[in-house]
Amino acid sequence: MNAIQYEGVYKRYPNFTLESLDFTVQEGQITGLIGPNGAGKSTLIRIAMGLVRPDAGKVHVLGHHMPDAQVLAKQEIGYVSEDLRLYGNATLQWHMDFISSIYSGWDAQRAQDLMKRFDIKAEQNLKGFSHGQRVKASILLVLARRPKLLIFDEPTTGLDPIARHEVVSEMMEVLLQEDRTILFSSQNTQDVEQVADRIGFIDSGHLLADEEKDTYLERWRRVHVTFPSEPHQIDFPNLVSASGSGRLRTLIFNPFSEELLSLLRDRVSVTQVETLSLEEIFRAEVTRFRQGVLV
Amino acid sequence: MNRFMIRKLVVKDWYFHRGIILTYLLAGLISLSLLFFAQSDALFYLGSILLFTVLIALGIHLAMSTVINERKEKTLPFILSLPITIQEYTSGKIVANMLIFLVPWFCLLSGTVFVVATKPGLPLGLIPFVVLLLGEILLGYCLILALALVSESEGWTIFGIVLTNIGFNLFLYYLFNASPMAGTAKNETLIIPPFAWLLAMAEGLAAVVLLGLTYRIQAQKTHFL
Repeated sequence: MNAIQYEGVYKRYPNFTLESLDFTVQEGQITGLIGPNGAGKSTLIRIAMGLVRPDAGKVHVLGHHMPDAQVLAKQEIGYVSEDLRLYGNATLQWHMDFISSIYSGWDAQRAQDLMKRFDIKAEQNLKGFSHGQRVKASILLVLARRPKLLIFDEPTTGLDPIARHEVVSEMMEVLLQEDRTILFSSQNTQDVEQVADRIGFIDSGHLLADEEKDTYLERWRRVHVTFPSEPHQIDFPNLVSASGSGRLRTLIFNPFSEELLSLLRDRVSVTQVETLSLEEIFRAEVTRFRQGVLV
Repeated sequence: MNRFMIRKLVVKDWYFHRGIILTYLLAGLISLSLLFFAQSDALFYLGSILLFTVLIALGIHLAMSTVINERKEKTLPFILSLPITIQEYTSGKIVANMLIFLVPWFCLLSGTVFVVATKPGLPLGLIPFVVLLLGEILLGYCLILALALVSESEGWTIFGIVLTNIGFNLFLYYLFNASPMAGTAKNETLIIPPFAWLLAMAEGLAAVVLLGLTYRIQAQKTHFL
C-alpha cells in the first residue's frame, strides 16, 4: 500500500515549475528524495503536507486526499523540516505539553527516553539550544507521538558534520527499531544512502529516478578501460558518460550486465569494474539530464 | 471548523503575549493617571498622546510579533504541521489578535470614559470623541493585521502602519475641526450626535469587512509556505 501517492502532480511558480510527476512512498519503507537546492523537493513535500495546492494532479496521503483532508492526514504525519523552528522563548517542556494536548498518541515515557538519548533538557528554553539540539528536539516532538508517516525535509541542512552525523545516526537508531514509513529529503546523498530503502532523484522539477536503492545501485558500474588506440568516438550500449584521455578511459554504464562486460572485453582491455556511490550516480544522472539526454 | 485547534492556537498566542498585554496595560494606566491627575493642559495633552501611542504601538507590536515574526523566525511551519488548515490558522490568528488587542483596548476605553465622566472641568461632550478615536485605532489595527496576514510581508505591514498613523491624525483633525460634530466636544451634557453613531457604525462595519476579506483571501491562497 502507498503511504503517499502523487499522480500527475504539476505546480507552476513564476520561477520554477514542478513538472507533471508520479511518485509513491510505500508503507513500511524509508524513501529518500535527493536533489540539489531548488530541485523541487520541498515543493513536493509541502504538497504532501497540504501546504501547497498543486495546479494539476492528485495527491493522497495515508488514503486522504490532499489538501482537502489535511486535518485527518496531519493527525498521522510527523513533519520535521530544515525551515521549521520551535519557539525560542519557550522550553522544550512547553512544546511537549503543547503537542501532547493535541495528539492522543503522545507517549510521555518515550519522550523521556528520547530526551536522555538526545541529551536535551526539558526545562531549557529553545533559544539556549544549539542548532543540532533544536533539530533533535523537533525530532523528539514527532517521534514521541508515534505517527504513521514521518516526513523529514532536509532536517540535517545547516548542521556541522559532527552534529549531522549525530542527528542521522541517533535518528536511525531509533527508527530502525520500529516499522515506520518515512520520506526523507536531502541534498546530502550520504545521509540518504545510509538510511533509505528506496530513492528518488529530482532536479529542476523533474523526477529523474524512483527505484529500490539496492537494485538501483546494483545496475550502475564504472569501468576503467584501455583502448587499443586513442578513440575518436566511444560508442557502447547503456553508456552514461565517458572521461579520461588518450587510450585510458573511465566509462559509466547504466544498466550494466555480464553481456556488456563480454562486449567490452572483445573491444578494449578492461582493467577494473567498480560499483558507484549514490552521490556519483546522482551526479551522473543530473549531468545527463541537464545535457538533455532525459528530456 | 476545527474549533479545538483554533482554541489551541489562540491560547498559545495569549500565553506568548501575556507579558506584552500586561506591559501595555500598565503603560495605559500611566496615561490614564496623567489624564486624571493632570493640573495643566500640557500634562493632559501628554496623557492623551501617551494613551493613543500605547494603543497604536500595541497593535503594531502584536501584528509584527504574532504574524510577521512567526514567518521570519520560521515557527510557522511548526504550526502548519499541526492538524489544521490555512483557514483555521487564519481564524486562530484573527481571534487571538482581536482578543489580545481588545482586552487592553476595552480597559483603556472604559478608563478614559471614566476619567472624562468623573474629572471635574472636563466636558461630557468629549465622550463620543474618545470612543470614535479609540474606534479608529481599533480599525487601524484591523487594517495592519489584515495586511500582515494577507501580504505575509514586513514591508507591506510597515506600509499599513504608516497609512493608519496618517489616517489617525487626519481623523483626529477632521473630528474636532471639520466634522458635523466638531462643535460638540465642549458640551457639558452627554448628547451623542447622530453623526457619531454613523461614524461608530462605519468603523465597526469597516473592521468586520476587513477581517472578512482577509479570511476570504487566505482561503483562496494556493500555497502558504
